Amino acid sequence: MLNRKLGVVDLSKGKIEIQEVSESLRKALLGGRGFNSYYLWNMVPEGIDPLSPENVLIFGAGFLTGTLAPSSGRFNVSAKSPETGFLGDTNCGGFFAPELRYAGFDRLILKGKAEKPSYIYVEDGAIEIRDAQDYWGLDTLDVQKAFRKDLGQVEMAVCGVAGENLVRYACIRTGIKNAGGRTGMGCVMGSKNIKAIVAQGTIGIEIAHPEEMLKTVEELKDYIMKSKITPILGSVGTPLLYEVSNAFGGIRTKNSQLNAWSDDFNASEVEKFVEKMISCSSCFVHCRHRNTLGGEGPEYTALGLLGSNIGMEKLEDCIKMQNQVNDLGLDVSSTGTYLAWATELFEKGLIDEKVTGGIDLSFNDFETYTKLIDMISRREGFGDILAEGQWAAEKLNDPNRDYLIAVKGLPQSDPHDVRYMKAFALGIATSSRGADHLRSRPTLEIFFKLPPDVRNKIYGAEIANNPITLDTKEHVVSWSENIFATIDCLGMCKFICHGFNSPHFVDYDWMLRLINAASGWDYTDAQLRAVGPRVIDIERLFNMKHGLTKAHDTLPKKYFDDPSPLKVAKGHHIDREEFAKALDRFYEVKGWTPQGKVKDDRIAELEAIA
Amino acid sequence: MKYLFTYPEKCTGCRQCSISCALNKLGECNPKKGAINVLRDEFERYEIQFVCLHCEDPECVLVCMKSAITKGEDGIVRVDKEKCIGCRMCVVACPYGAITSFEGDIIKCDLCDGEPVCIKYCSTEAVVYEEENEELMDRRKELAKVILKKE
Amino acid sequence: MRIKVKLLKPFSDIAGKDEMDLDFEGENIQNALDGLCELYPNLRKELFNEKGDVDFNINIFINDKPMTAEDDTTTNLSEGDILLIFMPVAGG
Repeated sequence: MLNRKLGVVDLSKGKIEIQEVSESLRKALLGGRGFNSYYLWNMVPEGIDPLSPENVLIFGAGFLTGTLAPSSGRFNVSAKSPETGFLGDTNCGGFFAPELRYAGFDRLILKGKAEKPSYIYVEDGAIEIRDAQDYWGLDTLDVQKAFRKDLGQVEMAVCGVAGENLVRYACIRTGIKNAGGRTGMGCVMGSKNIKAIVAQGTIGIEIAHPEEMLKTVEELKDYIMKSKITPILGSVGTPLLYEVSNAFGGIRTKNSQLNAWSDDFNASEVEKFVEKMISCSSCFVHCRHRNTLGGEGPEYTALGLLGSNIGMEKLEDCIKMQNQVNDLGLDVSSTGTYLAWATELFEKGLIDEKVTGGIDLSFNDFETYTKLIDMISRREGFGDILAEGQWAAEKLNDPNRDYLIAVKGLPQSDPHDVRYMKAFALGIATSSRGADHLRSRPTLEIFFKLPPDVRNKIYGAEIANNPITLDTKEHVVSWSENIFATIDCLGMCKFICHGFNSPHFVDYDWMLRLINAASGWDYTDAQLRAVGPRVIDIERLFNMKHGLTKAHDTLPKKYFDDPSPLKVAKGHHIDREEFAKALDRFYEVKGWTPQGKVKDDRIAELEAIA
Repeated sequence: MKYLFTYPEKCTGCRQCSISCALNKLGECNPKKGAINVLRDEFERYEIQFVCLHCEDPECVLVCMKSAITKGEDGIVRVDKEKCIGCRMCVVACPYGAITSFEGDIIKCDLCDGEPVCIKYCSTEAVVYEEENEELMDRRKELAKVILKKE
Repeated sequence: MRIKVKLLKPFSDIAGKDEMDLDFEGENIQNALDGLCELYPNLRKELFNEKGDVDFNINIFINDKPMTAEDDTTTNLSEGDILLIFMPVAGG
């Protein structure tokens, strides 16, 4: 069978239920993120504290995770977010999710709270709640090594010290560097007294039409490898983006006071630290770099947020901090954004040493930052304040968060300053989990030479071939949201998703061939295209249930009010009126009300899914 | 004779070789049941493939009590499923860890009778199917020593 | 005319350097690209498609401004201009 089981673990009662999932539900949502969001919407009561036992934490693999489908090593972890109070959801690669499936499960739902530190052990169809006393207090690397030593060749999703100490942006880690970074899912693990999910399995995933899958993937590999983008990603990985963004004047620098930074963080410099390029499970692209400083990375995100955004001048310092943040189990994007926020507030005199407990904050201060990162993870001194993330706004004397680069309470994920690329701005403003490019970033906007007819055909509408206007960009963002949600449901990586990096990667046609080969269904193009919008609407409903309003679909104040000072982006900002109009058009494309609400008949339709 | 030659330094650890092998032979995606296996440990920082070398004097052939393993005229070492009783002696005897077993079924590379599927799914040519020559065979001997150490 | 050319990957790998002074005959971007490809013939198939147009995967900036915002490859250049050639990619 292609599908595995659902494990529901009540940590308070120590009760485990193993359930089958209906085929109709799978046809409606496929798997991964879609299922996670659906369960959250149905299971998380209104108004609960995300750190209370009422919150629900879900680990869910994609529909094709662990198969021969390329880059299919991914899963989502979801809960109500302690960082934002809205949808918490994070997507992660590596080897854990395939192993969870080989161990017999597509998804684990954790309810309640364990009485004492525990971990979940999953092997060949069985789930156990085990004592984690010996593993509590270990960082994300040490704990994984300890599990390997004690239990053999297991794969794990763990939280670090930061998660145990309920830092609101603690992440989930698997392997050296793969992270379910966003929205504080490691913090939810900590709140439930769960250190890790450990999986080991030998149950193969049966494919309905093996020959068809072998043939499809062989063709698809050829197609992916022919792209000009693939060899670049496979030789330097994401650091190349740093230079690309920098070229646009689109690198978040010193808390977005600037928008371009030094060439010392260019891929050619990063390459000097690369030992070998490696892959996640089932991936042809191999974009991960094993670095010579004992870790993996840095990715573009770390280069920006633990580099330019905190004014670092030495690449080596940035890589060291990234390794530190990874080991402690903090989200790179949030950590870098909050450090930059506090530093600017300190430099502007909005906070002083009384607030920081004597710490003198300034950009490019490696010593202080590493100390502070450690203090955040242990909630010591000023670290305890910063561990609250955006909730520290009052204490940091910035109650309206005017200086924080975040949307819906979530610091922006990527280092791309979006004041120039207007579609990127609309994307982070409307994304269901807050400021995050991985929900909708329409990179094709940067392909200035893409012929208009190709562009229009992809997005299904007449699109302005001009990155600096919001006109028509509602189509671009909405289309991207839908296809990225779909590929998240399949458990495949966005790197090979049509529209994320290239107009020539995995589109709905390829997805359909893979789905039908694997499942033996006669799934149609129309059925497949209905999945993305369904997931987006369900996430909207979850957010609305937990207090989201139209006012939350907005941007950091700086992006509206402070024009970029440097390079081609100089003078560019987001115009409030134009943005408001674009938002209205976006809601219309989504089929939502002018207030951004899902319409009643659509709600009834979604409630009927079973 | 043509053999599979592996290049661990090029192996990214993705396991598509193992998964395609199991899918082709058994109809399931399962890297644990591939006749080519990738041993990887990101904490210890290595990736290395294990696959039958089709030795000149295979240990597995010598130890098989049922004569279920034979080296054919084409040089390919094969397991006869009818004769095999799943005693696992070959698994233990192979110095290169190239034979595995699951619930009594022996899993061992047969080069797909000359058209190995795994190579089609490697994006870095870390496993290739080529006619033997002195250089390749020397390299393979060196690699075999490394594998013996890892075992 | 003499301009400065900056190349990002993979073009820098092909040329063997990421920055250079380029002397070329003519006055516009097309002339400069032809001059560049004379020095590094392997760049031609990376930069141009079968029709001889700059490939859609390529972005060319002239002094921090995309050439598409000017007159594309017929944009006139001046002594000392900086030409940046790269491929746009995304990621996390």
